[in-house]
Amino acid sequence: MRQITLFLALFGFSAGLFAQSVTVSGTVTEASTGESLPAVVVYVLSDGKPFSASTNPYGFYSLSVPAGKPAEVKVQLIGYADFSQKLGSLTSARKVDISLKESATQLQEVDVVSERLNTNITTTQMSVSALSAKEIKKVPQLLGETDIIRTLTLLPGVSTVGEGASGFNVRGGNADQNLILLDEAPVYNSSHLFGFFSIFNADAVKDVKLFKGGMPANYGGRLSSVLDVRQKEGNSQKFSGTGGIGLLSSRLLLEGPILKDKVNFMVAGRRSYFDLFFPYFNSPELDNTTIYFYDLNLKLNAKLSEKDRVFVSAYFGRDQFGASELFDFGWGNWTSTFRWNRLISPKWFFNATAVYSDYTYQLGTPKDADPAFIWDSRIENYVTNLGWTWYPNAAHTVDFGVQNTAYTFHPGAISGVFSLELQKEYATEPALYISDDWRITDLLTATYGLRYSTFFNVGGRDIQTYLNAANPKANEATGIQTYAPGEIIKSFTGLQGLEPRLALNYKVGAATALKGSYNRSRQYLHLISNNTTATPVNVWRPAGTFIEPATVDQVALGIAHNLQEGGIRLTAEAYYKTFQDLVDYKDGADLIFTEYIETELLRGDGRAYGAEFLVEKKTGDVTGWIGYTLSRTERLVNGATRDTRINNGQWYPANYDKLHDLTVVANWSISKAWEAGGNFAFQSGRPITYPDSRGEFEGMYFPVYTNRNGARTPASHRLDLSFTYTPQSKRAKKWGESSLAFGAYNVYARRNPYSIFFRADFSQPTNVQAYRLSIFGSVIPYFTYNFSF
Amino acid sequence: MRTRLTLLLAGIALAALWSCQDPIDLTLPDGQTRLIVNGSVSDNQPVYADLSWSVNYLSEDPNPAVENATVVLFENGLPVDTLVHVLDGHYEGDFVGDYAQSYHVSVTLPETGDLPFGTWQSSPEAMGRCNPFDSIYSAFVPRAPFVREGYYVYAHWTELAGSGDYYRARLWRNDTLENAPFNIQVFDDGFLDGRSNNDIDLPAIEVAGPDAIGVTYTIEIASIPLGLYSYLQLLREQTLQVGGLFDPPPAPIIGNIFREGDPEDYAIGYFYASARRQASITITE
Repeated sequence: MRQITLFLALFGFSAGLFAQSVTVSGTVTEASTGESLPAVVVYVLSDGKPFSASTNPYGFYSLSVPAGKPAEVKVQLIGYADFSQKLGSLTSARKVDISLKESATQLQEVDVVSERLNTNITTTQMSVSALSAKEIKKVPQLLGETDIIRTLTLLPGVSTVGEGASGFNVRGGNADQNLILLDEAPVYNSSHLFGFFSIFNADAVKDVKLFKGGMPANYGGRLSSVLDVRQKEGNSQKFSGTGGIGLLSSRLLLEGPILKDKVNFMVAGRRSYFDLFFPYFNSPELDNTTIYFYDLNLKLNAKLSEKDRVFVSAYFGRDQFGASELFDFGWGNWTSTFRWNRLISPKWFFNATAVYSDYTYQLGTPKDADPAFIWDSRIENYVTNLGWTWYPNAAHTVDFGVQNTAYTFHPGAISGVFSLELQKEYATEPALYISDDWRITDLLTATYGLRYSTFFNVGGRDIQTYLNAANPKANEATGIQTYAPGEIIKSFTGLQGLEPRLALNYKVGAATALKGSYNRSRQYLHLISNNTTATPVNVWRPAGTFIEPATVDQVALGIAHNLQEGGIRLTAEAYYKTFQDLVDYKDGADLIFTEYIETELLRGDGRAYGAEFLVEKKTGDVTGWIGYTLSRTERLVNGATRDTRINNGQWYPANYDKLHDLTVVANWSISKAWEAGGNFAFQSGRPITYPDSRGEFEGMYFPVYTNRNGARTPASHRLDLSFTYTPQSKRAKKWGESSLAFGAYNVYARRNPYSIFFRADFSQPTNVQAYRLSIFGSVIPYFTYNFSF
Repeated sequence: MRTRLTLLLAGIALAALWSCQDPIDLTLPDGQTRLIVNGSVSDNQPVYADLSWSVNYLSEDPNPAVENATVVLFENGLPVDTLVHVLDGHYEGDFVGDYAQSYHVSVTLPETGDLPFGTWQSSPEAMGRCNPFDSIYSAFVPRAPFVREGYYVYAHWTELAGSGDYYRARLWRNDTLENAPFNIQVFDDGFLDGRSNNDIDLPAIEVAGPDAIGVTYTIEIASIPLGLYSYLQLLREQTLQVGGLFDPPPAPIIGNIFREGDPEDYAIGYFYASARRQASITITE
């Protein structure tokens, strides 16, 4: 006990024991909808001295202030009217729930709380990009379909292999190294239409946060980023709706109270309708062709008491392709989340979350075809999180918790003309975490924490054994080892599971901060994909007998400087990452429906380093940002033998390595009725592989490659424009707000090279032509009618 | 089956894109010149090998022939035939192989200018087994969605019981081998071990069609080693699935020919042992 007291004293936790303080706590919500607002800084001016705390993801805040002093609570947030409430002289804990009203005008004047827009200067968080649904909707989009992930790729450090590619890459990480959470439920495929659109219906999304580094300790399981997407909770004040009719799809969201201020709901749906036009093409083949996606978002939350609140949310989305009796192909995510928030005391907050997540795909013939052939695959998750937040005093906010994810992998099952099933795999990933947000001095703050993750790959399952387990080969299998259900096949419980996290913030004056962070993360799942970009049929496999967990260490340093009271933010960050035990693939690896996948895999390392620069304009009629990234991403696969090496064991650039990445995003409020937006994006060419020579086999010519990613495509650039007209007349607003958005993607019809490849004329095999593949070959216009009531 | 699935997926994906492909002018540097050795020994045809040099990938000339090599066939490690150069790098012998025996060749080149020289050997490959065809026939198929009307050729064939067999199918139309990369057909017995494509157990093998009456087709199914199965899959993939969003990365297509005593230094090509079975039919009304 003495040691614990000493530890607490050392780290300042005991400050509250010796000083007379009282707690001010509560929730911050939006007045018109009742939505809780996360990451809002709440200030309490106590006897003229400011104390501050941020709301947690559920909108709760708590801070300790000196007792017996006159106090005033203040909140200022862009887009909302200032909130201020005098509390008088505080002698005991006070609950202050804050309801922020939307403001039609942007903040103009300077207030006593000079940090009103300077939260980026005071927080330890770095390498984080936060976007609200409102901001995302202002960015010009492909076919007018508001796309969260496409918007994120306009930020420094976030890129894709190319236009139309599935997933995204963060600071040199593979697409499978992003932990994508929708209301805390993991999402395994975030794309519709093979990567052209994301699964997130922006109408149903409240806010989006992307952690590129310096990850808080409560996040784990992926190496490179966390994309935390929170759905709207539903309007607790009145019934309302939002919708849109576009070229690609239409959408509708309804929300409202079931019991005012106690129970409210949100339901949103979206469906594309390419296929509805097929009958007009007068083609019998198209008559029976289906190609569409849809998704459904649902959220219900209930305030059980002043201290208890529960949320139930769900997402169901699906893509479907089919052609008559030829084939049927579908994939989709299903997530459901149950969450319970309890305010244990003004200083203690508790959250319990239970999640079920299921990603599945089917490929084959229609079920009633003769002969039928159906291939099913899926990954199921059961996630439980128990987390506590403790606000011991004004200097500390402590988060700790326990998490577990249970996985069931169904790599594949075939039914129909014959039946075959790859063995299921089972695994569980328990983890503990603790972190402290420590205001060491008025100038220096630190967030330090530790995550300890473990992983158990369990039976029942047969494991193939090999002559050389370090380099398993299909023709060197020696036997089968059988594990009973529940029996541990392989566990990862050592010190390697310790994942330290540290972030420091040092204020240099009121508008400048120096930042630094270090984090280690571990990833126990791998997306088995040997394509340039992932496909919906790629399978996830867990660490086990032959697959090691991957690890990354990242160090980042940065500086943030604000101008015009935070209206303009300048950020520069540099990072260096090293990866260990990445999965790569043997040349020509056969990954589809392969039982013993280990025979196709290689072990590799990686490194990524770069500098990111961001200038954001947050206020005024013209808002937006300019981002620039200078970076390198490389891989090393250097096994003991030739067939376990890539490029002779030398470092080579990853598929998505791009030296320069420049984006300009602007939005101009021309008048109340008109808004204009524009994006410009420039990226260096990505690595590709050219053949060194021509080989031959029995009269067939083929390329001989010896230098993977030894060449590069030309650079890419693109301009997108959008305009939004919102009628202002009373007649137009009779039934609610409406607007017409129109614009164009790739305005000057740039044919950006996705790849350069070679194709032979097979009637004259020596006649080979080089081609440039462009995903978007021309300007793509759009218009969308949006409405709300 | 896996190849079909991959192609199906690629096809669907491509259909979904707004993509466009533009021909461009490009020059490629000359890479390292490597020896190319291809050949096989079978249970019913004499052994042969074709030798040439690799060239720039965009060269419009054929690969130069290698005409001064010494090519020796080994059975179970013992030399059994020396192949003789016939024409344009084509070497032939008299030897016919047997099931379950192991074969390899050695190729020795004298020093000539800047070209590689020395001795290369193929990895030993055992000859697999292969059933003959049960029957072959043609039939008229009416028009249906995604099915063109006309005469089709079908074959019945039974796979030998016991897993671990790999096969290659080839097709001749009027005695002309259909020999482009997209004609490569290889399969294993993972899904059809011991089963019969006899229209009862499994549908018949669709050999060709639709085509005209009077056209002759010859189909061959040949046992191949696992290495060649992987090699041909890779060759097909690397020549057909190129450049697209979901295509695999370019990869070296390395066969089973290596410099003697140095498994790190490879020549291009494959020498294999194979049991070949053929059936022919002329389409009739």
